[in-house]
Amino acid sequence: MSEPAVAPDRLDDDILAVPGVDALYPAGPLLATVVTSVVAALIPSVDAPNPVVVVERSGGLSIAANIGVGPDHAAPDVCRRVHDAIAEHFSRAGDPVIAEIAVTVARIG
Amino acid sequence: MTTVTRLAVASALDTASDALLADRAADGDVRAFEVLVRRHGPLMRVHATRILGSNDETDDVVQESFITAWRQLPTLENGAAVKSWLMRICGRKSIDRVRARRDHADITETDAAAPAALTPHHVAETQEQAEALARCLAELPDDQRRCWTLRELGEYSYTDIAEELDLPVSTVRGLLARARKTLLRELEDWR
Amino acid sequence: MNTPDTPFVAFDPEEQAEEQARLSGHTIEDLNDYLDRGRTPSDSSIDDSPACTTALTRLERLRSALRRVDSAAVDREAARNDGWVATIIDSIRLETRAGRRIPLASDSPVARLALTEGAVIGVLRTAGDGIDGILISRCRLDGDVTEPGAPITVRLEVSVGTDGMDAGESVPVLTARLRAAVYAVLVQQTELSIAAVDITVTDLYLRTTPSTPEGDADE
Repeated sequence: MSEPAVAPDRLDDDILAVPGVDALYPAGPLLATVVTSVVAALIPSVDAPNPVVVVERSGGLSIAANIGVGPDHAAPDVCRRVHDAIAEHFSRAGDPVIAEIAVTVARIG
Repeated sequence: MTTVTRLAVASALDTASDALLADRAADGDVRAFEVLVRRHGPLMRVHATRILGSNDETDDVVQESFITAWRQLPTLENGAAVKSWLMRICGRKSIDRVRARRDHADITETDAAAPAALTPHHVAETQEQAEALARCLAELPDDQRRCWTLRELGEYSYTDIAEELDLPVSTVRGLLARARKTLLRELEDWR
Repeated sequence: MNTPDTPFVAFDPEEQAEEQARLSGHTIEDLNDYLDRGRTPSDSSIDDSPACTTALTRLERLRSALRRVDSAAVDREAARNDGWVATIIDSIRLETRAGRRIPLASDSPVARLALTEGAVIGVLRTAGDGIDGILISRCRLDGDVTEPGAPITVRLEVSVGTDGMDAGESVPVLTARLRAAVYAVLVQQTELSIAAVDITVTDLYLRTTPSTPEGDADE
């Protein structure tokens, strides 16, 4: 059971479909993002195809997404709706145990 | 409506002081940083090209310089000094390239062969004179040209040049003196 | 008398003794340093020597000629249209200044929701940009933003455009407008409990009337 039950790219679409979300950034611990982008900045690379990170641990799935919120939307509400969209996505897809859904707003407006 | 506001801000930023732009960029404002790139990048490109001796690696050096600057901006205490700070980063990156090429074989004393001065047939015209001088500058021996650009564009002190190039101060002074005389002679031909 | 043309040209870079002999005991570098010092304190052994005076004139000519060379080179680089600026900007855009994680409340036991400090600072800056005559330079969130409910003081350093005041505005009016805009954004975009919004005007700037750009294509 090491394969996540759901293809993460569909998950991207579900997140981007939430009103107010206008970007998905590579997720992961914030510090790690900063460190790896140091390398990324020097090596011209295409955006990672699956910016949402889904990790399976003994306690269940951990999902992490970093989003940008467009102008004229309240970021906290959009953030909660993204959480709900992720939860719904997995409940439709076999309802695995979820340990954590981390959603971070990295940019507003 | 949004577009209009953004344009207005863009022009306010375009005329903003270096200090303000550096502060905003330190806080993460990419647009302010872009204004700094446009404002000081051209001089940095000239600086890098002169130190490197050609423009083959200018893009790389200047890009690396700005990436380093973006990361280190939060540590810059006086935003008003951002121009000389950027020039320092760019000078250092250029010198690192030169070192990496292992091209510093004659960074000591060897070259006495000054480039042949061009003898013009016609009355000196400012444009032509500037071109001839630019060529003369470009054709200076590498070590002279490097000292020269660090001094003139980078605004380094003699001691700083010596430190940066790992040379005695007396050698730096000697290299600058020779460069200056070569350039004076070139100018003399246009009298 | 008239300065002789030939000897000056004939300076041999290798022979300092001859150089000094021709320049009343000085060298070209001495004279260049003298120019760097703005000819102060004045040195009569230089000022009273015709050879030195000639040399100083040549050095000044060289300086202004090189200034033209340098500014032409800079202009050429500035006119480049090969996207070098865009390449640089694209590469730094990946490196956002996230800062601290500012948690958001949620009913869900598995949710871990947050704003980055960088996102909040960015949206406050945008709010400031919406006010004509104000540019935010620095923005700080003082207090433990990682602790829900902790009192936070927002500290802004701003620059005020002077022609905003020509239009009958005053600094207090502009800062009051900014404070209102910042509060509105904080309420809409965050769950922070704001103790105060401190605004310091650090600078008055003169907004130059933008000259009509002569057909410069935008990117």
